[in-house]
Amino acid sequence: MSSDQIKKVLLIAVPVLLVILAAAIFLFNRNNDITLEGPQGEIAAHETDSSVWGRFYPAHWDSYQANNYNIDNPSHFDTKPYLQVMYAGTGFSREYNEPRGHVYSIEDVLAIDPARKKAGASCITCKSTQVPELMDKYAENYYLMSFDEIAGEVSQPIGCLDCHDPKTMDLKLTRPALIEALQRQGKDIDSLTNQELRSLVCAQCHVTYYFAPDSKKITFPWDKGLKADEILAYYDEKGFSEWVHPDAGTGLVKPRHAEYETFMNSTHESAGVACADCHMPYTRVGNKKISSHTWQSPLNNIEESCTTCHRNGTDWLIQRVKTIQSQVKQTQDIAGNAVVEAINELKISRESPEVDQAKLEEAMYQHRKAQWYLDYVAVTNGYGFHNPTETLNNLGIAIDSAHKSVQLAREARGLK
Amino acid sequence: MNKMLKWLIILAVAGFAMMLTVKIPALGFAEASFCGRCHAMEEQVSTYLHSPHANAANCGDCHDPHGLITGSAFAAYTGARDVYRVVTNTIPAEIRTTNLSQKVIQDNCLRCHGDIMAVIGDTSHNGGSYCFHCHQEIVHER
Repeated sequence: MSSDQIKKVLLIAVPVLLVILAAAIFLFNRNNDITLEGPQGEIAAHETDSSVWGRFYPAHWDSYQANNYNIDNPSHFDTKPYLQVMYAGTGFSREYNEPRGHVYSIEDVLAIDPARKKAGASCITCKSTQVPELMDKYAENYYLMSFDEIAGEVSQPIGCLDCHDPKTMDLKLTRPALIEALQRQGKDIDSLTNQELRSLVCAQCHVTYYFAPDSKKITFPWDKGLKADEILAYYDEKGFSEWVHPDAGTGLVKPRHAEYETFMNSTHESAGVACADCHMPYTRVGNKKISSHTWQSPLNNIEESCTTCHRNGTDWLIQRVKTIQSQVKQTQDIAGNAVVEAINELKISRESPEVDQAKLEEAMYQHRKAQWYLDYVAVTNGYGFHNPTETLNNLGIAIDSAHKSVQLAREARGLK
Repeated sequence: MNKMLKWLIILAVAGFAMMLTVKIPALGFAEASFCGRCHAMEEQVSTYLHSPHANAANCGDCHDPHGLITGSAFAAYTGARDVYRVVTNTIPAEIRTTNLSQKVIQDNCLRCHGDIMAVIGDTSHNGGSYCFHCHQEIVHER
């Protein structure tokens, strides 16, 4: 071939090769694209009406609506009669029913016994998606307002805006008590990982708390740590009691649904599992998966919640959960009866004429401790499944402290 | 000197071309029949062959980046590393994915399953979990 011919061949070959190369790169990259849907529409920054969000996210809305099927609200006293004795002197002793879930949060809180409404506006804090707005409106005065004042201003139950940023749909913390507790621990709120947030949005409400004495502000007692012993030490150091038991005379503190605290450091949590992994499992809806917004026991949708990781069969899994929960319930009942016995012994001792006051004080402290540890377990959902070993450990301490209280109370009035 | 440079260029071009052969399906360098030649991969390969993924994806589809250059460079590196481990008899008792490898696998999960995950998005976004943290045994054991 002459150089002219070579030039001609190259003139055709080079562009052809370039086109093929460009096409190859284009096709490779196009196949490499991962098409994921972002936010589906513009939702107003303070949209508290969840049905507006639901128009853009119909599958999520359907699963949220399914919460309406949770219609049971049995009394805790039917299965745990000792609680009623323990709660004497508080509104809880009048009535303590299981609420029906997020969509009924306002209806249920309005229906509680008036004796329980004394705490005021704080009670509504976790019951309506409009609360952050009201907190902005009333600032620090929010907590000092009455139950009825705030109840009259809310109509939307727990919904989308409580956990989601309406612009990006990312998870977001909206309740100040959690944000402040995390900040006191030195955590940077803006650098929380998605997996942490998949638990922390729940921890805005599913935690224990108390009302700060003067401001009535909801405060998380986490400054010494998240565990039952560390929280009790926090209250002891402050000398804080929520009420005095009328029969036992003991100054007591009240734990509340400490699901998040209990779950921390459990087997599942330390393996990297978040609340949402079991309680809001990815669920197939048509040809898409969504994170289920039907909040319930994972046993109700075990094939989505458990069997994704645990391939041992649903019968075996249910059996494991039931075994753990029935063992916890049995131990909890033992502790409950022991605490009631301590209350009865304290009552007799206090009414006895010559009572050793120092011994009685000691007996009361053991009662405070026993009731704290038992109540911490009893008011936490899941009968210990969130952290079985820690739960049984707490119940062990409750039983031991109750027995010590009984012994000391008897000694205080001269019995052996 | 000029000759030396010429050879170096030839060697570099040949090496680069050889690296790219990983991505030529007909040669089968990303197939289980190739990866399974080492004893170390026996358990993974034999369980993979019984999984539904065996009909749809080969080893490289999940374990190498999809890009022509990035994919073949990654495969050349991991392949060379694995050969070194085999010939020096230093295969770990428990073979685990590296951090980089986890990102590669996650992208490949979504590359095929992007449709069903379109609403949820990339679960590993901002410190989230990878797909295979839960779906551990879906393709092969261990």
